[in-house]
Amino acid sequence: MNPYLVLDLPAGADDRAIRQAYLKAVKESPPEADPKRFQEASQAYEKIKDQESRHRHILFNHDCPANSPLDALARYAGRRRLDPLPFDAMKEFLRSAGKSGGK
Amino acid sequence: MAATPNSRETPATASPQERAAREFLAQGRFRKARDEFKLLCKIDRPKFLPLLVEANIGLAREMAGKGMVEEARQVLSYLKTIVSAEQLLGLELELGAGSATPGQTPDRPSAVPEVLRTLAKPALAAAERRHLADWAVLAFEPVPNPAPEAAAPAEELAAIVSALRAVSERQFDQALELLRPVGQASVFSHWKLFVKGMVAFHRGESERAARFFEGLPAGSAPAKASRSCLLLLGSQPVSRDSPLPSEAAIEWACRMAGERGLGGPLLRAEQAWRKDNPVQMYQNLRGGIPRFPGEGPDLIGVLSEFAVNCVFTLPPKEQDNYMFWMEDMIDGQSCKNPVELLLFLRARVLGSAADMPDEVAVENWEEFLRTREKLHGRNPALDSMACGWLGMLFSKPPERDAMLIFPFNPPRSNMRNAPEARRLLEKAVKLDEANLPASLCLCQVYKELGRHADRNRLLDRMTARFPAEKQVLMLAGQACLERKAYKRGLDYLGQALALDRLDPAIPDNLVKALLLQAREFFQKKRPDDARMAISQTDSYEVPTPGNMTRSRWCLRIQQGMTETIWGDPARGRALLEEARRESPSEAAFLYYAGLADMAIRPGSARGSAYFDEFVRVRKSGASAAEAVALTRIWVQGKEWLGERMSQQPWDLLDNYLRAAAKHPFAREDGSRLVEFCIAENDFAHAGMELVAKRLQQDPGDPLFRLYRLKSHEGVELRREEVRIELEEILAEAARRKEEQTARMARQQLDALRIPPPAPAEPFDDLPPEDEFDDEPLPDFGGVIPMLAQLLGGKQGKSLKVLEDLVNLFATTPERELKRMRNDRPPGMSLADFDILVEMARVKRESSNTGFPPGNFPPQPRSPGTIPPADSGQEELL
Repeated sequence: MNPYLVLDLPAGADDRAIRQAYLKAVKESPPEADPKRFQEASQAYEKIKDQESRHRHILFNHDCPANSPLDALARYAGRRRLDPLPFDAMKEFLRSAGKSGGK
Repeated sequence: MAATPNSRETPATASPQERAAREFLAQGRFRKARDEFKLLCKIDRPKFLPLLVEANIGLAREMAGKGMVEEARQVLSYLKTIVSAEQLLGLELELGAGSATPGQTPDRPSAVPEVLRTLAKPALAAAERRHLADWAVLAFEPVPNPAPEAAAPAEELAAIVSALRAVSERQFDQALELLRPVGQASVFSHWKLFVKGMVAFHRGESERAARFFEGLPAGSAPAKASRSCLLLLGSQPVSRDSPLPSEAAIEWACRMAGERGLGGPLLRAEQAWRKDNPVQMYQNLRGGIPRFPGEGPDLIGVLSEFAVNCVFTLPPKEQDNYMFWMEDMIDGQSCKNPVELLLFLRARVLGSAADMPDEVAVENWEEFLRTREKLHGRNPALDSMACGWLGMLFSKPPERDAMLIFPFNPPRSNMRNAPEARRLLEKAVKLDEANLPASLCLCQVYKELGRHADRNRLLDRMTARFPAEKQVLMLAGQACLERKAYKRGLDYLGQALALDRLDPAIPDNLVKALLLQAREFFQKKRPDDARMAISQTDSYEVPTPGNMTRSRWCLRIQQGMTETIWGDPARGRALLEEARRESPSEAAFLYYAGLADMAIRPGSARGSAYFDEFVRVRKSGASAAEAVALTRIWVQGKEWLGERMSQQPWDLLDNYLRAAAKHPFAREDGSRLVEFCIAENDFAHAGMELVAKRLQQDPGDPLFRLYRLKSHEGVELRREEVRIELEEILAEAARRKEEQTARMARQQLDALRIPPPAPAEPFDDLPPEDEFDDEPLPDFGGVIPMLAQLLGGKQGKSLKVLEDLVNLFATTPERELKRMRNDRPPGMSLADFDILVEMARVKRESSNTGFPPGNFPPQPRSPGTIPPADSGQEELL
């Protein structure tokens, strides 16, 4: 998964911003409380912690972030704190779901 | 009408027809259920009418869901003749609202109060009440003055709607607070659950959210809505076998993730992916999403990363197809945007650089860098890393071509493409002098190309640029020794030692440097300086006798040889006598001394009298325990002598090992020796004798049976034979509690279970064979006539003899073959012998037994040349 996404950073973040984001992520998800997120944050940090690592990531990253397109969507959502839909959109969403078939 | 009994509860006394009807209803096969209950109503109307109604309502809803609104209304009309209006209110509202487009208010907004009054009555079935409740919520209409009997449901409805609004406004605590009026028994309780789920979802409490959503009653509006949320939560892993969500569910999931319009493309991409069609998967995303592919840390970026990088996870055939398609896109200049071109170029080079022609790899990689520069601006450090990587790839040894069976090719280089490696690495260093891995690799390339002056100049610059890099100092030190600048070399090595006192290679090199310096001093008639240098080697002595460079006895031998050959022979003899006393055995002393003599004496091909004495000692008794030490000395000798190592030390050790194999030996010693023989293929036959001896002592020994199996590599063994043997070995190892042996056997068994690669299919574009009939055979420099002469007139038995020879050569070590070449059968020319050797080599390398030489069967291709994050690049490449 894109390490910038994992650490909630813009693409051009510098060393300092990356380190701060990492420390924040680790504080929010310490290893004893959320080992999975902690590991993800640590791995993401290792990939972009300095310029050399970032260059290596740009050139050689061949990680596949998911097992399928839908899995990619789920994993993306899993990395973000998604904002709720605006109320009008939420109404549209619920009405659309209410009309749909199946269970 | 009273509430209907639970249609899923079939009474024990039910008739087969009733059971079938109830089954249809439970399965949602409403039409069949209706038909059956219609007949059953003729038998017992009061009992079956409610079920008939339920089936019809289900059927009408099903029709409405499929867009068959008119048909659904016909069913509704019929229902009105048999049930009260209240029971049909929900369905009527649904069918009325079915024609409304999303987002607009229902046709009958004023129906909300009516719905609330109906909900206040307990007469309806639970499912119907839920439907009405859903309808009321989705109307999103305020009810300012509810009827007194509808006050409670009205308050609950208002609470739900307010809570949903609060969630939209990120007022999560308020949302939960607003839900208080809604009790567990409320008809809106499932909406309360839904709101709680949404709060947990947006707070990042994934497991909690999933629990709430999964507890929603099936078929209800919030349950359907929660599908999008559950998709985003990934609580149920998306697998090839799991049912596909609807396009609408995916679309709303993507909207919650911040992107519109992805539902259709993503659904189609998933469908193609599940059909093992990655190209179609990519094309669906590409064609359906304008901003795809992208590079940013957003959903488009993640989809793009998946869609391209999945090529590295595919099985070989699919990988090739996908890669070919990308290549076509690149070569046809058909890329959608520069980002797509960038991603394809990178994937192509990373995935295929090991196999593609060098000029293509360079061209693609340079195009990648140019495209990147256009998109993101110039970045010399990144360009340097990129050029360095490709340069390092070209500095690796080339893949051996098994098709080249004839012995007339020029000797292969140690590097795939040294000149191109040099160009790329020089460029890398010029772009960024801080690129240490590239600089180190360039040193190796200069050495390979014989450009010693360039190498030395580079090392000088590197020592200034990287004064604290141990590897640089070591290299510089070694280079100084090669050009006999011993003082400077010692200086560099001393600096390296100061950086890392624990690396044994540094004091090893210091000892070497001091002894070389001593030799030079002797040659310059400065014996005092020479002896000072020799005595300085004592400061690097280690107490372990097993250290083959700096244990006391080894040091004394090196010192003694230096003194004997270059200084005072008497002093030298004294040192050697001390070494003999300190050495672990006579054989070890003699063998080491002989090798040291070869290394230190200029131009010597023989190990002098020491080797002769060694032979006498061996004849008086060889032991496996001593042989273990000799193998370590052999390794040291190889390091000293390199290409200068002659046949003699090999002969001596080989004979010693075979002699040791004639007597019983300890298992551990035997194992060490066999491992050595496996690693140093030249001693394979001696290894086999040791294995055979051990299995005489203990035929069931699982470890040695594994060794025996390994020694059959290159000889055709049926997979079944190998499998049976491995299973027996595994069982025996388990019985003897030999965990490591069991693990090795298990690994080999697992490797066997991977089916061997399918035979290569002929290329589709090759013409049928008969089109080649008239073409002359290519001329391979006269080998064909030789083969013809070799085989001509020698059909049948003689051909079998030749086949047997090839099979024998396939398992014979290189050194043995050299000996046999000199002692070949009379009448067999050198050229004949060489042909057979080449044929044996091809056979060995293309052998397809269940026990491939040292490696598992090939895995799906991955870019094996990618350096991990924390390694020096050159170590990986």
